[in-house]
Amino acid sequence: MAADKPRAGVSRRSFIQTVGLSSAAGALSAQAEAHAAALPSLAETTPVVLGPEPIGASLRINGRAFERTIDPATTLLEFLRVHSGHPGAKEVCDRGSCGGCSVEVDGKLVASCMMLALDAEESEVTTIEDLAEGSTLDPIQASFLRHDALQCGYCTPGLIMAVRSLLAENPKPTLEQIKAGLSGNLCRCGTYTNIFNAVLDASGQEPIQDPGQAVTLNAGSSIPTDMPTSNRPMNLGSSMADHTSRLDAVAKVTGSAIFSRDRVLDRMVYASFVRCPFGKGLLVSSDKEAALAIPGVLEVKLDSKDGLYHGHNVGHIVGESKLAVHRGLRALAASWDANPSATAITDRASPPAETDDTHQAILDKADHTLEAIYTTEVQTHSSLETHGAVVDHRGDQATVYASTQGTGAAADGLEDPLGLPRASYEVICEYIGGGFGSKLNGAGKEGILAARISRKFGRPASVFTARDEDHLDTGNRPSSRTLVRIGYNNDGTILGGQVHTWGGVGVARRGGGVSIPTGHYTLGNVQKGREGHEDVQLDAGAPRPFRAPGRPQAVFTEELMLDEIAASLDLDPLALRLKIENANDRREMFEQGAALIGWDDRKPTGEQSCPLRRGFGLGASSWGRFPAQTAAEVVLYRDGSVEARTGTQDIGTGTHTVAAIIASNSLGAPLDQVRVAIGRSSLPPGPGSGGSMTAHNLSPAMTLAAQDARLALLSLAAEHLDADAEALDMREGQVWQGDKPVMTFAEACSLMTEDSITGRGETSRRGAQQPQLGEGSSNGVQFVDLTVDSETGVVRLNRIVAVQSCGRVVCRKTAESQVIGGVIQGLSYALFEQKIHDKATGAMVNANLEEYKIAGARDIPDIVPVLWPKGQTGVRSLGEPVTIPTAGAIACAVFNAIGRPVRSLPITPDRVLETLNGGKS
Amino acid sequence: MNPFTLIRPKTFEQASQALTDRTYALPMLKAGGMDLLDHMKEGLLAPDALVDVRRLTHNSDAPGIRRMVSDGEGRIEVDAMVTLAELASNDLIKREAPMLAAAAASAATPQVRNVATLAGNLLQRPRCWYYRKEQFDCLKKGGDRCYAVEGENKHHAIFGRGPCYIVHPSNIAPPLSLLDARVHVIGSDRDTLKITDLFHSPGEGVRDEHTLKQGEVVTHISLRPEQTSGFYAIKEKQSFDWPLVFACVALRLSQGRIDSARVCAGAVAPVPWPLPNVEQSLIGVHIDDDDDLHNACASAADGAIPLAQNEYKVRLLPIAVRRAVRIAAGRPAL
Repeated sequence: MAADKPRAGVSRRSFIQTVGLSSAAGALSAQAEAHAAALPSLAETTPVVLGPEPIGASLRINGRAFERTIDPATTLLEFLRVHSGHPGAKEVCDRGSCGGCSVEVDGKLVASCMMLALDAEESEVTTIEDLAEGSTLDPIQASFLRHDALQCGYCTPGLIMAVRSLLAENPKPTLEQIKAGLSGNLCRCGTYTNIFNAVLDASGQEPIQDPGQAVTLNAGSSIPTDMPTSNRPMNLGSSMADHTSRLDAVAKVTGSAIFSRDRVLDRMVYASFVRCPFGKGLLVSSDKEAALAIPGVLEVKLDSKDGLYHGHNVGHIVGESKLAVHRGLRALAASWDANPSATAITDRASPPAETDDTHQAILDKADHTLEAIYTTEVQTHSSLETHGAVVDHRGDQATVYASTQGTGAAADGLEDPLGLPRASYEVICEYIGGGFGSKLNGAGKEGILAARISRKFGRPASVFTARDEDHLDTGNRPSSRTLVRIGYNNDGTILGGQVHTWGGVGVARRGGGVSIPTGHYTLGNVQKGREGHEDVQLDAGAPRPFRAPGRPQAVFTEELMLDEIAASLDLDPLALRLKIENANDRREMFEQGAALIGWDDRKPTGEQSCPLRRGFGLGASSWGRFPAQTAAEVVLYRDGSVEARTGTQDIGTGTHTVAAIIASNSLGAPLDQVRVAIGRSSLPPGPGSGGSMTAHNLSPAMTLAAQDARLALLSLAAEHLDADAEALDMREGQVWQGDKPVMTFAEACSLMTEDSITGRGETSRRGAQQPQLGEGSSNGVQFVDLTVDSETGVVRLNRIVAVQSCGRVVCRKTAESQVIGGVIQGLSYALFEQKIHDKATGAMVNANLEEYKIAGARDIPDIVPVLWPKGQTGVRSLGEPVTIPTAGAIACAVFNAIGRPVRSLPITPDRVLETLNGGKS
Repeated sequence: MNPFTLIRPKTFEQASQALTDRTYALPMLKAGGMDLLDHMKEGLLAPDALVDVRRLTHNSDAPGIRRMVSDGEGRIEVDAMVTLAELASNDLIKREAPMLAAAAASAATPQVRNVATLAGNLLQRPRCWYYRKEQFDCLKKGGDRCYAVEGENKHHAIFGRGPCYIVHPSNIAPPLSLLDARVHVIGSDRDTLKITDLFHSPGEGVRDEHTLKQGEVVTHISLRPEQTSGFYAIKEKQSFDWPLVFACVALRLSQGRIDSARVCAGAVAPVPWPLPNVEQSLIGVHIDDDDDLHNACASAADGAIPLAQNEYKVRLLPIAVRRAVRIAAGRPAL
């Protein structure tokens, strides 16, 4: 038994008390206590009593003993992250719902956030940091690397620990067993498909979608940059780097990637906001003195008594530790009255615009009309790393570790709170645990508070939202409501009509737009215009951009509407799409996607009467390019190494890797010589990581920088060779004169008289000077095959095929991951996600990761990402378009299966049953 | 979490004593700690002492599951601190009480199941989101109303008629009720109670859900095997999610015909909800007669009074029962 293990070199005797064994002896005298402690026989039979004051604790972590003085309320997770330097385990939900903090205790996988550190004494704790031996990865880690089973990397340590536990119990799990074993771990980027492949591979099995040739890495092998996977043969051969694995993956799979929230600095203070708990709240009483009296509380500030929405910050508390801040908030005992509030669009929506005469005439002359209302709910970004920053103000200088999608924009907002000129501080975001738009808000209120506090106290300050605050006050995809009145003829021609949309924008003024009509199809003459949309203000948190803002809602409505039209005409919905499709490439994609999903198996809508009904659906997407001013540098060093530099950050999309590949290709220098410096505001400014802008803006700037450096190096070589620089070429790590290699890249670099050569590249907002400018937009289609359990209303996805163009693919693996992730976020939006408000008080009742439901491993179907190869030049957008059509395609497939449209997202069992039974439809 | 003293008793008796000896204002038992830490993090509870019983066992070195040798029924004894993972994977339980293993496997996540205990699962507090939010001063917290009645009640009870509309949170309490489970306690004048007597309805006391007295500590349970038993849960999400509705069924079959049945539903009422009408209707039904089976289960939700957002549970309950019956009989769920 673990409890019997001897505990070498650990003494906590001075902290041990005993309690009385009889009810008469509530407490023993100090003398008796000392006596009891000295007597082993008594100590073995009497209860051990620890705390409440801080006490000595000794934990064995990865084979090493850590002795620390801690508050008994310290969780194992806090002990790991804050007290013993093991930041690999992440705090994500803080309630045992997400697996982000998974570690092993005596070989059992546990959620370390829900375990007291003291409960892990006398146990062996194993964390992600223990898996790799030196530079040799554990086979699971290597397999994650090879299959790109990670994006932002924040969930990765927890998932790898879960895989380890799964394989220890079941060395060759089936796919279903893998999904069950990982069902306690959430990944918000949506990487599951590749994780399943990684687990299959690591357990010596064939990855799914893999006809063979899998290369299994053995323990002890070194980690090559070239790691072939053959499970997606359709995507091989067209990218710049088919087999390159994400270059920052080693850091992410070993837990050594330090995210901003992982920063623990000496003497750091913590702060949290005081927040309104209702839709409209009035602070009627609070006890500042009591809060200040809590040990470790340093500051209590209340700025307002009026809360404008649940989560609205009206003050803050600063403390020496998170526990102190939490206790301060409890002691503050803020008491609020809830005033009437509105949190649903229908609470405040104005009537729709009148149909004008022109459009009424269209409706009048059509063979048929469809009039319906489609609704979607609020989706929160739910990045696994919450919002915030650690700020280290050192008087005349500062460093800001922010979780941000724009280091430059974050820096812009901090001059005032830091009280420093921009040149005196730097914003650093080396790794970010998810950024889907909500971290495009500059420094954010959390960063600004951290800056002010760090400046005031002269100590580092950490301000990060807790999970509930993240749901409430860090943005969302707004709810929507769309009224459609559309006229169409018997042959499927859409004549037009009217669309009116509403978006629920919380306390913001705008941001609730629904981009319908999408422009994907010829829908005739549709009235929308400026009067056709209303942003409805509500007593709830404001939206922020969320991966393809306004689009998934629109495509859900438009595609389901088209399927309803097709069904009413007995038309195949694919045939209807092909008839009215506006883009030639998408027409071809539809044909390929239909073949891959097995569209021929589709039964006409409403024909099935068995309990399990299979349905097929489809959807289209497009996304443009947005030129942004972007600067990059490529620095060549005399030792033959290369540094690619840009201030932009990698939010998990693969920017780091893309930068290196572009630099390597454009230089003609070996990829393994290129290191990348990104995520710092002091580097040449790059674009914010939003709107799928990063790769297509960074690529031309980095190309120019590499070309600039290359030219300088070739001039040196020419001088040395006494040749004409224009007669020299550099490729494959060699300098060539004609068809003859004359020196290696490294030899050329050694000719430098300076330490380095810096090439610079810059592109402008107007898109000029972009050597890799892509044409047109990134188009895509998605097909869904699902099964509806018509008795329970539960929707189970079987397969999703995503065909997507994105220009020339830079890195095949990270591009596939983007597609898979977009699909997974889309299916989660379609089936599960909604912010639920109590109508009477306006409070969000599901601000956690348990009742705010995000797709987990068992909810993921087979997903086939197809990178469209035809006619692709330049680098184009990819992140946004892949999440646009999923929900629409799922809604169409559900309609196909059950014969009635579910016109509200998410498509939950209760809604399916209600629709089936003739309720709202 | 608030400051507290952590007490590690060496025996259940010491644990009971620590709860009653008045050294502390609000001492609370801690087993796996999942639900307790959740409450403390949410600010719903501030115990000044945690009495940690998670390593205790009533008669052996480590919490375990054993056949009781001296028992004619072949009863099985399960220590209170056995984890859900152990319940789910234990061969004896899988063979002798498959619905219990399935119910345990269906709960929470692998990480939670490795820590959460049998007793902790039975005594966890409800998941009602009004109860779990500090700002709602609901009946359970001494307030004057149940917010779910007029509020967001999709996940609330369709049986029981209030005044509080929680559903019982335990996956394993309904199967245990069909396994004639007896709960062994120390710290009072009784030493066992039937599992069905462990819980009370909101009408009998709304502040808590169980009948344990101050100082009573569950040490172990015993249960009667039901090899022909099945569990079926309907969930929105197939990864970690709380069931919308679930059912468990224990059958006596002869040649495919049901001689007797016991049926209990979960996630529909504040306590495990037996369905005597369905038990009656199932008698004589042949397991392969889909129509008869359908009809026999159709009355499962009779008497339900749904709230505004949970009428779907009325539809789901007969389905869950029918599928659990099929699973109990060794058939596919549908």
